[in-house]
Amino acid sequence: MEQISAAIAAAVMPGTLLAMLVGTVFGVIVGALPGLGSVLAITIALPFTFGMDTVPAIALVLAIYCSSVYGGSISAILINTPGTPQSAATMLDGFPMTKQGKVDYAIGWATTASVFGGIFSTVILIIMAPQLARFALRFNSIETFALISLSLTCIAGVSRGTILKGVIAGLVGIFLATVGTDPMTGTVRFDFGVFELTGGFKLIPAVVGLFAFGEVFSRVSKRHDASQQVDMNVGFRVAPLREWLLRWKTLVRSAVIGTFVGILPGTGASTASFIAYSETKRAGRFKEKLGTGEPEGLIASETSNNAVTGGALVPTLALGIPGDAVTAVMMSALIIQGIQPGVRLFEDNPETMNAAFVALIICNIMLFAVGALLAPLITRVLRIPEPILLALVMILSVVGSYGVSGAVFDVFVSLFFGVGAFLFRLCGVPIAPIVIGLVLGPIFEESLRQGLLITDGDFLAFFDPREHVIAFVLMLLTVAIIAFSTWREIGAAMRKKKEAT
Amino acid sequence: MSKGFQDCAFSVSMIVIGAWLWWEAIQPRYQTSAAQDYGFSPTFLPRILIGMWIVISLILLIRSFGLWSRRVSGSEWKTLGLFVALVFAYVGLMTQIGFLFSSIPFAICAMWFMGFRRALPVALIATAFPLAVWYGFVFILKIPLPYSPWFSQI
Repeated sequence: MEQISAAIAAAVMPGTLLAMLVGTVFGVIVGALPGLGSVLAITIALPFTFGMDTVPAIALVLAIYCSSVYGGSISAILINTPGTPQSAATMLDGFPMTKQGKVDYAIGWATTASVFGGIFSTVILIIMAPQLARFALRFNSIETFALISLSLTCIAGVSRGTILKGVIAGLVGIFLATVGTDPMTGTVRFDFGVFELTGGFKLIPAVVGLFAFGEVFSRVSKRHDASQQVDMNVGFRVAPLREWLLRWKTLVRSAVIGTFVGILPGTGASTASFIAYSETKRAGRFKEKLGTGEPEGLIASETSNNAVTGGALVPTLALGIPGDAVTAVMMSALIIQGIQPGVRLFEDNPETMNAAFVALIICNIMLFAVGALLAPLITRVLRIPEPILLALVMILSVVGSYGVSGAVFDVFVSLFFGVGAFLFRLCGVPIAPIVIGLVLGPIFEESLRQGLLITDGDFLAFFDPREHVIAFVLMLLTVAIIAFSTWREIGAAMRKKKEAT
Repeated sequence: MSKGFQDCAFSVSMIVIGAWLWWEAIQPRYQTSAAQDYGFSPTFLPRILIGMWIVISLILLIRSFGLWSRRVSGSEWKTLGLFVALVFAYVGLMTQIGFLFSSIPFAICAMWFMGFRRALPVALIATAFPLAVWYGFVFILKIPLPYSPWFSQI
């Protein structure tokens, strides 16, 4: 009890609160700018932590981490361009809600879901960080392969009515993820002599191209129809409690998925959001409406990607293993403060870590307040006439693509993907499966190849229930979803044919 | 444009691209020794993916023959072509004269092109927005943007 009150006292010091407020506002803004992400936001703030005390410095970094993940959802909802790759799944229902004039509700759902996800995973982090970290170590490449295969089934979900085209788009996405250096042999693949392609396609320029450029090209190619303009409710509005109660299972399920995926090293928030979305598509209350502006899709994506923040800190703090680039940068912030993450962290620095956990909860609460205050200002952007908005989106997207690595080549990559996305849309091919493939492709390939190494090239051994019971269950679920989606698609096609005759 | 033509054009394009990538995937430069790749070549997964997309594209092609009577809305190719050319010109120009000096004329042209032609607001927005983005990135976020040969940071 004494430790808890000391932790709360350290976390609510004026200096710490100010650091969290500045970090939250900064994180939301940087996260909302397409192309910039959590890593960049934390890296920019890192030099400021040198002269700060330990707790405010950690609080600043944690606030930026949580808020930058959330910030990505704002641009995903407003302009169909995710500020960060973690919010790619948010676009699937967020932007359709904006098109329906419900941007205030969309931001409200996203903010509240993000806060819930963040707090949920923090509580899990506080209660069982060491135990979870040890369990995560048992999750090897075969289980990861099965998990990713399961989440790839959401391609079928986002391609209702055009499943063949959706599957082709998904395959294209995974293929594009294989461009560049092979992770096992170091051989450069499909670079066609272009040096910049040896590292593969970067996710941000690709996503910016597919959605922002694709959307602008698509709008330019169609005659402007004033009747299609909808009244836009700008601002911030939280849906009534009964609406939340209808979707509480998705909220909890997505928070659990996000926390668990966050614990697994090398997966990350983008993967978590697509897994949660896929799971909602399978088991959600409003699963039939997903992809058309259904809040359940927003909840799935935003709860899970923010739940990753707490989950990812489990191996980082308890084992000293950073799961991704963001946690690696965060780990360096801790080391700068003289704190060495690892198995002895909680024993060596109990006061600091308890204060950090309290700060993480406060950061998430602050996130709600900042989101609610900033949303009315940010959403007003939608009242700008479309030609101005599209021109500004183009400039911002160009800067976003360029800012990833300071290379004009990335802007051309965005243009290439933008033109490709427009042509795909023209042929009635859904774009979301390409992004799903691009996000999950690298982990899919790596886990498959590593799994084949473990089983000496025997793919069927992946599903031996005696050796890999988790993988067996996950693959069974995957096969069932594929069979169900195919059966449903054939049924729909036959019904359509019957109606026509 | 008919739905059948749309599907047919898409599937034929995907088959042609798939065949080209397959040919690339079987090139000798991707043949590594078993000691290096443990029995699975670097193009092992890409070949599976390409093979699958060719097979599905063939199914789509066959299915498209029954959909020639269904109509779908078309696009204004000329308008789009001109706009894409404008964007390419903008990015090309950006490498030569920098972000700020290329973004201002691009914003003016893009707004005018999309039908917003009120001179004063166009001029103000086209100047203020790139200026704000440039200032924010270069001086606040410390992310350098392409600059002109005439000034060190502009």
